[in-house]
Amino acid sequence: MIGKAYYLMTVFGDRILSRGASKRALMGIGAAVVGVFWAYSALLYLNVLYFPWPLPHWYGGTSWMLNSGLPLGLRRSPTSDVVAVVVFATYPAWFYLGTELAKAGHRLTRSQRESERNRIIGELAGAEFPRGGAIPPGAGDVGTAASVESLLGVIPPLFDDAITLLLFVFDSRFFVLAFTGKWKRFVDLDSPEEKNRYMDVWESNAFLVSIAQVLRIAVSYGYYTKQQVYSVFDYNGPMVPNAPPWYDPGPSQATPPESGP
Amino acid sequence: MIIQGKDVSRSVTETADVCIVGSGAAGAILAWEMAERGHSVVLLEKGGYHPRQDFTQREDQMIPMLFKNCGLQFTIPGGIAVAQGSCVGGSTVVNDAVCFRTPDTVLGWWEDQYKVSDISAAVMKKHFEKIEPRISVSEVKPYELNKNSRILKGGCEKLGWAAAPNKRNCKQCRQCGLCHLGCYYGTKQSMLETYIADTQAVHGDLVKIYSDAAAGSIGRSGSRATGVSATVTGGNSLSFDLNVKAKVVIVSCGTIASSELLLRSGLDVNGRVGKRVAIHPSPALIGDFDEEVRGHQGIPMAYHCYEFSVLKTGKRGYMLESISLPPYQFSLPLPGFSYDHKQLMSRYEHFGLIGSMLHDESVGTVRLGGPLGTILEYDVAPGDAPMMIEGMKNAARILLSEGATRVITSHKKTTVIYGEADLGLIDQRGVSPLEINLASAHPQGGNVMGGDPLVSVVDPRSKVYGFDNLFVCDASVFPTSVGVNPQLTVMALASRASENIGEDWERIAR
Repeated sequence: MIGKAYYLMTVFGDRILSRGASKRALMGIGAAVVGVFWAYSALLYLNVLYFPWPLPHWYGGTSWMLNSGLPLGLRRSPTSDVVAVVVFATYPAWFYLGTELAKAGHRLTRSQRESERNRIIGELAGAEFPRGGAIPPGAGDVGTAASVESLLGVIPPLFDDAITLLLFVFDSRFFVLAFTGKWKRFVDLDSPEEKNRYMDVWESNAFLVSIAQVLRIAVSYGYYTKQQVYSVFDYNGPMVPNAPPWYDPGPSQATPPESGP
Repeated sequence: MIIQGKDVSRSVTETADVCIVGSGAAGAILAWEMAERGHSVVLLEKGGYHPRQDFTQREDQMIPMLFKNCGLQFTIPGGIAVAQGSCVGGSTVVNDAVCFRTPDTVLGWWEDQYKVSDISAAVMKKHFEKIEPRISVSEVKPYELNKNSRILKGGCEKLGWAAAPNKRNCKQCRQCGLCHLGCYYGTKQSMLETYIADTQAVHGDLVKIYSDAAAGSIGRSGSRATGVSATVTGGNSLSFDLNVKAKVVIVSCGTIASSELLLRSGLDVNGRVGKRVAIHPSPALIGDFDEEVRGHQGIPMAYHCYEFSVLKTGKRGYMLESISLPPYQFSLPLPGFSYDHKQLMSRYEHFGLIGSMLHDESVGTVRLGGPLGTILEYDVAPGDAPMMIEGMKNAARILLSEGATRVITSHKKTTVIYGEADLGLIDQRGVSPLEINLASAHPQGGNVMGGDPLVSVVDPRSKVYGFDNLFVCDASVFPTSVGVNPQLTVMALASRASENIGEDWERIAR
């Protein structure tokens, strides 16, 4: 548990407070945590400290360390001293294993989180740019969600986190309930029209419009930059390495332009 | 010499006469000028180094590569998108190459109201004349005007409003219409193609340019800046410390970032850093024409109407400018979503676009915090709102006079104007950023220059108050917004600052 708490603390410290705290400093904090546990355990075992349990009573330190408050009747002896030293020696190992477990849990959470985020982006993009209409391809046809994900992959990490948070807020049942009367997530709303109505509320709300704006810009990036989309309205797209066909060198220019660098 | 993040594999300490943070319109010129005086320079750029061969003309590739935060930078509240370049060459790589000299009236305000000495029109003229030939500033020729610009021209002629072709830093423009995505043809004379290239060619031994190098803080000892601590990020995302010790430190990373660096370094001596930011907020007016306009084919910003701007009236107002954008960027000011938005975008080739650039009051503030490291608080000042509304109405009048069947405003709630009688809709909707999609490409202020140390961050010679050798030079020092596209003003101020630093060198670089 302490290992997990320590790991989360380092994540918090690294991402929120210092954005790049030195690994050496974090190792130092970890060693200090283990040191505190060693000192506290040793002082308890030597009966220098009492343990406050069961409140409001105080338990003798040695008895607590040997019996953990249970009626086991164990007393300190040369054998228990050896066992205690061995157990104390394993503290760093438990600490390490706890940290690793926390890392594994964090990875799993992150993976699940990204999967959910991708689903929200996909549904949002699908509602913003459904298939059909004046521009036939829908967001799902042109890989809009994947483009948005790639964009989020190159923006500053904290901004990525913030946009993820905004997406989850946008998707939350509480907001959907407040604006549509339905206890559903945005991604689970039944029809595109229902989703559009929900999005309309966000766009019309003075406090939420900024969030809607950021999300809208992100999905527009993933849609209108696609050749299948802009070719519908005859935008030419990239011309490199050639000069554009409409290039007019002017009356004094007799020779055609070079073709790029 | 340009050292990219991928070239760095260990922590580095550099020593130079001058450390400049930022390689845009100011930083690139300062690096050249310092080297011309024989000083060694380390130039730090947070963005990457991308030669023009890398400019693929694709929005999905160029926006993440060349724009700060991939183009996702917004004010709060309201979310006005604020575009800034982030690459070697800075915003000059992604702007529309429009060049205006600082209006004499504005220089007069700076001199009279903000006690900035030695900044008269005559003084600045010398710097403009020095820079303009270097970046090939010339007026757009009549045959270079595309249909979108001709709409603005024709409308102004019918309405009797003062208008003119833009001057641009470009030679033999290929008219591809994609200035915002970097100029593949190298005809736009950005800092990348001019001062940066010249510095490498002529002063490669004196100037080291680090790209992918984010300045973290400025070191300080008493009243002296001792250098800059930065982090260089390589291609494999490994980061290394880069410490630059310098006799003189110049902060030129642009409005927002320059204030951020000073604040993060704890150098807000008088509590004025980050204050008085303006952004030239610009609503878009989109005219729908029966015939194809194809505004993206040709120079995006080639013409302007200055009837209501400081250039003609001598007071704050607005400039109407023809502008075109590739599809993604064009889609952003359009209202609605789903099939409605698609319906509008399907008219892309028929749309003419005019931007109404407001000469705004400096009411914004840059603060540390938020997921991007800084927060830009900005709202349209109450006194500015009527001007913005008037600007939108007059842009609509131009489009209607040229035959637009309807004009769509950039309000979040779809607002369509079919004739003069509908213009009252703009009043009804208002111009709060919560109601309208506004864009900005000209953040200014935050480290304002002035003669009064109680209300200014830098003195008239660009030196930070309270320091002997720390300077700020970029758009963040503007005491007010300039009311015209600002890159030439930034460049001239850089030339002026380099002259001042050169004159004072013995004293400041001890």
